[in-house]
Amino acid sequence: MTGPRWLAPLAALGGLLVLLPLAGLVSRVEWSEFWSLVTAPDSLTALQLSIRTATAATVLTLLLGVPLGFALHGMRRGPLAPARAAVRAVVLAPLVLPPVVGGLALLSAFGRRGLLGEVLGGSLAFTTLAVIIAQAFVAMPFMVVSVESALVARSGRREAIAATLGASRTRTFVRVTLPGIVPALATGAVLAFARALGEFGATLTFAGSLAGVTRTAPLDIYLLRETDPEAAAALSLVLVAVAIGVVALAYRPVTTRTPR
Amino acid sequence: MRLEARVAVTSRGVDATLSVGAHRTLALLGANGAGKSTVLESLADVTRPDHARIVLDGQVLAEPGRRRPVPARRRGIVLLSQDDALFPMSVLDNVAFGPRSAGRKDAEDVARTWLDHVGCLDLAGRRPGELSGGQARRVAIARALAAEPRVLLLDEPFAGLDVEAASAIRALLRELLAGTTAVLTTHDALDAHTLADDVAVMESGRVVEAGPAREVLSRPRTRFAARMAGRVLIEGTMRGGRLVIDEVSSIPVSGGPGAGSRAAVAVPPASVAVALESPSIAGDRAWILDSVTTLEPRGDHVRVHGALVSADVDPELASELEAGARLWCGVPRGLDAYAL
Repeated sequence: MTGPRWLAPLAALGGLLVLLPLAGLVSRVEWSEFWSLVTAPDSLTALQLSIRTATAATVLTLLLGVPLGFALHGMRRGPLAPARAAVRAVVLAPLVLPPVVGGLALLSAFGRRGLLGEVLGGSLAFTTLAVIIAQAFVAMPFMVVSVESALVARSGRREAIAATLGASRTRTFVRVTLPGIVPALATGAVLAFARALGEFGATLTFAGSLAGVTRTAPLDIYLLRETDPEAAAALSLVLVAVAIGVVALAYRPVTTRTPR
Repeated sequence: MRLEARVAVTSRGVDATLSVGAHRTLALLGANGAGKSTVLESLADVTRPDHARIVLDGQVLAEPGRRRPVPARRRGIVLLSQDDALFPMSVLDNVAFGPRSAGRKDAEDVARTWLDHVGCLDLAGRRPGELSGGQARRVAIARALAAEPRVLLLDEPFAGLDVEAASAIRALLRELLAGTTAVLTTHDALDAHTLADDVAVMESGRVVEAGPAREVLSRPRTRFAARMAGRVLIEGTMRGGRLVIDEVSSIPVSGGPGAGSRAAVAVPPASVAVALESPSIAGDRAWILDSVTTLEPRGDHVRVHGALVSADVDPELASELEAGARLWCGVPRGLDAYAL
């Protein structure tokens, strides 16, 4: 399908809007020092912390987001069906919530004076665990959406046949349903990882910026921006590369062999 | 394993009653959309019917007023669906799925035995996507039987297969279904003839005729059942060895009930001759004056449906006919008449 000619210049402008800032970033990088900047102890600490926490957050979204996706899908029939849209809106809200608002919300739940402060016997805030929770909070919607739409696309027929063959629900879930939605799980995990890696506002609000404990790469970049712009640009470029790689991985056309 | 069932699914207009004798095969014969698949899915608890009473060998699986029907996984009723619904795992794991679910230690041996039975042992390591349509159907059959079903349900087992694969699988099923309690759906009288002991004819969600296959297929009692059996039903009243159809037409028949009783003969449309003018010599046929209602193209011939009789004719002859046209239908003399 080709649109009218006047779409082309607008498309070019759109492309530039994305490309120019990236080009600017690249132009700021001191290539001779790139490697030493990225492997400086502080940078490495921040990068490693980012990767560790983002991985943990992704595991958490798999563990909790997949059941949530199933629950949302299960609500389409039965007495809870009318509430489904509302529940989905709440679960997906972190996707569009200003991150700083998310951070405040997390503080008021898990902070020292938060709802669970007493139960937890202290505050979770300003710990590495807080970083992971903040990242999972903003990243989980990707997993939920991914799983739910994959389930909608399934007819449920294989599950029904598995039951007639004598399989328990758990067996059907593990052996038939989960293998059937692996592409959706992979997409959800990759997007959640990317979102967790880039998380800034909620982390800063809820977890603070303690070097080695809660200062992830994006926070480090924000601090370096004033004191050491070259290092900030170098670290930024690393995150840009990861982001582009992740998107390319998650959005390549999925060639699944649909079993007959 | 005697199965007695009445299932109703209101949204699909289905309310069917059927029974299957132990170790017998019942064919649900009906046109597309008659509700055959819905009945099978209800029996297997793949579809939850609005109303169901299902008794298998004295065990009540579902009953109105019963709090919860017995769930699919405890029924021992396995559904072989048209789409095969193979799982995303190797062929061997697919077939071993039932025995493994039952906790059998020798599940893999059982699977190999059944794969061998259906001639697919060499495909054990393949994935479902790497199978042809015929191979996938064979694997699905092996998977269903490996679960040792008390009742096997087969939904259009030859749907979507090419002619060769369908013939091969028809022969395979003929062997495997012997001694199995089974229900299969089909719109083809041939399947009912070759695979079933009993036939239940379904029309618009209801069983309209049921009985031993030979009886239902050769002596149908309704026009619909006759059509499903590939025959046309000619109804009339017995009088002196003849079946009187209307004021002008009657045909000599053999057998049949006493004079004055309603009776019928069932004749394949291919054996009915057609003439546009009153035949001067009757020959070995009895001629019935009829008028055309519809013309149904069927590949290399046209089935002419009249108000009384249907006949298969050459397209060239059919081109001279139109709805309302008069025609003479020549029916063989001495057909076997039976009481209605």
